[in-house]
Amino acid sequence: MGGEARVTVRQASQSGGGAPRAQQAVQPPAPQTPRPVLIALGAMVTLGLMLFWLPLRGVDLEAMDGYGLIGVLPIATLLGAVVLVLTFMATLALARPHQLLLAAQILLLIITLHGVTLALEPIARFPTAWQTGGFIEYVTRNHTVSWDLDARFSTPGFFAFIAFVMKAVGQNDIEPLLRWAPTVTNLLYLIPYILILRVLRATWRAKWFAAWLFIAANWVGQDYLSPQAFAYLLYLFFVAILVNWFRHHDERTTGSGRRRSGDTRERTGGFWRIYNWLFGAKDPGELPAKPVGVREQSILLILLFILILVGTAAHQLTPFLMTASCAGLVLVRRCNLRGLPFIAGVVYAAWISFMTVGYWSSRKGELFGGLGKVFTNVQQSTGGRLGTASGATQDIQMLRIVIAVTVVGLAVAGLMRRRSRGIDDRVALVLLLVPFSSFGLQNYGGELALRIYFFMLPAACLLIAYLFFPAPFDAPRVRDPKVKIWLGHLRTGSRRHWPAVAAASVFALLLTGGFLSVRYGNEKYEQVRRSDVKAFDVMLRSTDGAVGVVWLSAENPELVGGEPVMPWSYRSWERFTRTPVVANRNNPADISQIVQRLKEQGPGGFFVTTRSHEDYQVLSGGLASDYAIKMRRALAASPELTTVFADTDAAVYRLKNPPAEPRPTVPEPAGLGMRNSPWTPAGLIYLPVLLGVLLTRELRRLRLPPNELRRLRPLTVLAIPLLISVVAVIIERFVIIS
Amino acid sequence: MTIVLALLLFSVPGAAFWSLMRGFDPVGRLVVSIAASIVTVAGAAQILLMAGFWSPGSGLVAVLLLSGLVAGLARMHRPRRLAHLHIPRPPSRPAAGAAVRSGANVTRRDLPVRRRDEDEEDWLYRD
Repeated sequence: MGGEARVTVRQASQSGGGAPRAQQAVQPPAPQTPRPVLIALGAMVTLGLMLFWLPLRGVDLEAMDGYGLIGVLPIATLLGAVVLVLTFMATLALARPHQLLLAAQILLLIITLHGVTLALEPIARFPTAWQTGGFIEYVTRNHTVSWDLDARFSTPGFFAFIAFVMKAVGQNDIEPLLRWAPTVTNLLYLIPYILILRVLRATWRAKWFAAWLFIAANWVGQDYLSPQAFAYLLYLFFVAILVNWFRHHDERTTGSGRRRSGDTRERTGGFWRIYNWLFGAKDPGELPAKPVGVREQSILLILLFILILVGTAAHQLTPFLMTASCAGLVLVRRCNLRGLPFIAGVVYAAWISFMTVGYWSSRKGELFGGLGKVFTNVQQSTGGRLGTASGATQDIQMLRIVIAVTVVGLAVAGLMRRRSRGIDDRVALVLLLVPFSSFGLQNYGGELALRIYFFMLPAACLLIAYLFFPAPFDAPRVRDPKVKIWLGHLRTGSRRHWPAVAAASVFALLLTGGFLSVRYGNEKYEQVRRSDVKAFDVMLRSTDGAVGVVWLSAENPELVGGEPVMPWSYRSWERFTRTPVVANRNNPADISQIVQRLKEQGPGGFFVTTRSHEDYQVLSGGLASDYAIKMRRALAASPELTTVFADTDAAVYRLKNPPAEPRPTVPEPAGLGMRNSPWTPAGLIYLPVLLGVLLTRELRRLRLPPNELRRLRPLTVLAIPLLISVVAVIIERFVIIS
Repeated sequence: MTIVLALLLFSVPGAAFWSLMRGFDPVGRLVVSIAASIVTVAGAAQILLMAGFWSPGSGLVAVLLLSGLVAGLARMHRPRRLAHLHIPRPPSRPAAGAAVRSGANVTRRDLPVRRRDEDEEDWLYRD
C-alpha cells in the first residue's frame, strides 16, 4: 500500500510541477452532490441549532451538582449537539468538499461549544478571568504596572494591549469582553491553523476534520481573556509562518532512504522491514514550500522577530515553546532559519533576567528546585490535582486525564498509520513533542499538564485526523475487479471513505460529550454571579483606603495553595489584601478566628463569602455542605459584627467597631522593577547589538545560496563575543541581585 | 459601534501590511496581515508601557505612525513606472526553470534542485 501511494505522489508532482492545486487537477472531478442533499444538510444544521439553544431557557443552574453543567443540560440540547456533530460528519462523507457548508458548521460549533454559558449565565464566568480584568483596569488607571503586586505584572504586554484597545474604542466595561473572549479567541486560533493545515499533504477530509477537532478538543479553558490565550495565538501565527515560508529547501529523504547502501538494499526480512519503517524512503508529510521572494521572506523574518518580542512581553511560558518548536523544526530539517532559535532564546533569557526580577530574586531556590524535577511535576500536575476533592470532582478530573491520554494515544496511532504508508510527518511530530520539553520548567501551580495538552493540540488534532483519513491526497483507487480483497465492497468504490467517516463520527461524538462534561465540569463554582461582583463593589465603596479581605478556606492555603474563588481584585487591584481563615470543621458557628483576623486588618477589614466559593470548599476541600449556612447564621447573629451586604449568593461582614490601627497603606505603582547591578548598563548596550547582529545574519542567510553559507562567518564571529557578554551579564545579575 | 471601532483600529495597520506584502498568495497575505496588525497594536502598547508613556492617545499616534511607516515602505519599494501604468508586477523571483544566474545575485531558489524521481530509474534508458 505504501509503495502504491509513493508512486502516485511522484506522478502527481511530476505532472503538476509540485504545485498543490495541480494534484487535484489531474484527477477526474468528483461527482456533483445533488441539491436536495445539500438542502437536507442545511436543514439538519438548523434543526441541531434549534434543539441545542431553545431548551436552554429552562435550565436551572441552581440544580447543578459536582458534575457541573452536563447534569442540568436538557436532553434536547444534548440531542442538538449530536445532530450538529453528525451533520458535520455527513458533510465530510460527501464526494467533494463544500467549503461554505463546512466552514459555517465549524463557526457554529465554536459558538455552540464555547459559548453555551452565554445563554445560561448572566455575567462572564470564571473568577480568574475577572482577575485579568483587574490587571487591565490597573494599567488603564495608572498608565503603568507595579512589579511588586503580582508576578503577572512582570509580563504586562497583554494588559497594556487590551487596556489600550479598550480605551481607544471607548469601551469602559470589561464584562462583555470577558464574556465573549473564549468564543472570539477560538475563532482567531483557526486563522493561523488554516495556514498550517494548507501546507500538509492530506485530503480535504483530514484537514477539515482536524480543524473541527481543534475546536472540540480544546476543553482546557485556557482561552479566556488572558495572556496565555493571546500568546497562544501568537505561537500559532509563529508556527504557521515558519512551516509555510521557511521550510528547508532540501526536504526529501533520497529515493533509497538515507542509510541503506547498495549492498543491503535488496535484503528483506523482519529486521530490514523495521529498518525501512524507520529510515527508509519516505515522502514528506508537507507539500512543497510556497515560492516567495527574498523580499517577502525578509518581511516575514522581521515579523517573526516581532512576534517573539511581543509574545515574550506578554507571557512567561509561550516564548519558551516558540523557541523550542523553532529549534525542533530546524533539527529535523523542516526550517531553514537556523539562527532563529538563538534569537528567540536570547530574547527570552534577557526578558527573564531584566524584567522579571521581582519574581526570581525572592525565590531562587524554588526556581532551581522546580527545574529538572520532571517526575514531581508530572505527578503534581496530574495525580496531584485530585487531592481531597469530592467524588464528583474527582470523576471529572479523571475524565480529563482520560481524554488527554486518549487524544495523545490516537495522535501517536495516526502518526504510525501515516508512517506505514510511507509518509514522514516531521512537522506534526515536532509540534507534538515540543510541549513536553516544558516539563523541565517550573511546576506552574500544578497546571503544566493542562498547558502541555493545550500546546500539543494543533499537532494532535491533525494526527488524529490522519488516523481516520491517512491518504496523502484524494485519488480514486483503481482496483482490478478480479482480485478479491477482504471486505472489498467497503474498501472500494465511490463510498469507500464511509467506514472511516463512521469511525470518526463515533470519536467525534465521544469527544463532544467529553467536552461538555469536562469544560463545564466545575461550573458549580466557576460561575460568577452578579452578587459576587457587587460584594467587592460594596467593600470598595464602604472604605477609602486598603481593603483587607478575610476569606474562609477548608484547608490551610499555606500548605496546599489556593485563592478565594471569587472575582477579587477585578478592579482597584492595589487596594486589596487577602487573609485566609482555616475553617473549624467541628463547629461552623465558631467565628472567633474570623473576628480575630478582622481585627488584624484594621479599619478596612471585611469577611466575604460567596456561593461559588462555598461550593468550591465543599467540593474540593471536603467541607460539610451545610457549613456555610451555619457559619453565615452565626456571623449575622454575632454582636461584634455587622452585615454590610447579604443575599443568597454573597455576603460581606465587618466589625461593628473596627480598630483604627493598623492602617495599611495602598502601594503606589512601582513600574517594571528592572533593578540595577554593576554590569547591567553594559548588558543593555550589548543586548540590542547582539540581536541586531543575529537578525542581520538571518537576513543575510536568506540571500545566500545554500552552498555559500560560509559567507555568514564574519557575522557569526561578531555574534559570539557579544553572546558571551550578554550571558555573562545575565549570570552576573542573577548572582548580585537578591 | 464598539466592534466597528475595534475593527477599524486593527484594519489600519492591517491594510498597511497588506500593501507591503505583494508577492504572496491571497490567503497567506490576509493571514500575515492579520498577524502583523495584531502585533503592531500590541507591540505599540507594550513599548509605550515599558517606556512609561502609556496612554490611549499616544498609543493611537504610535499605531498610526507605525502604519504610515509600513505603508511608506510599501510605496517606496514599488517601482513607480509600474505603479502608474497598473501593470501587474512581475514576481520578484524568476520562475522555476529560468536560466541560472551567476554571481552574487544567485539565491538558493535559482539553483536547480535535483528531483528525487530522476535518479533511480535513469539507468533503464541508458545504452
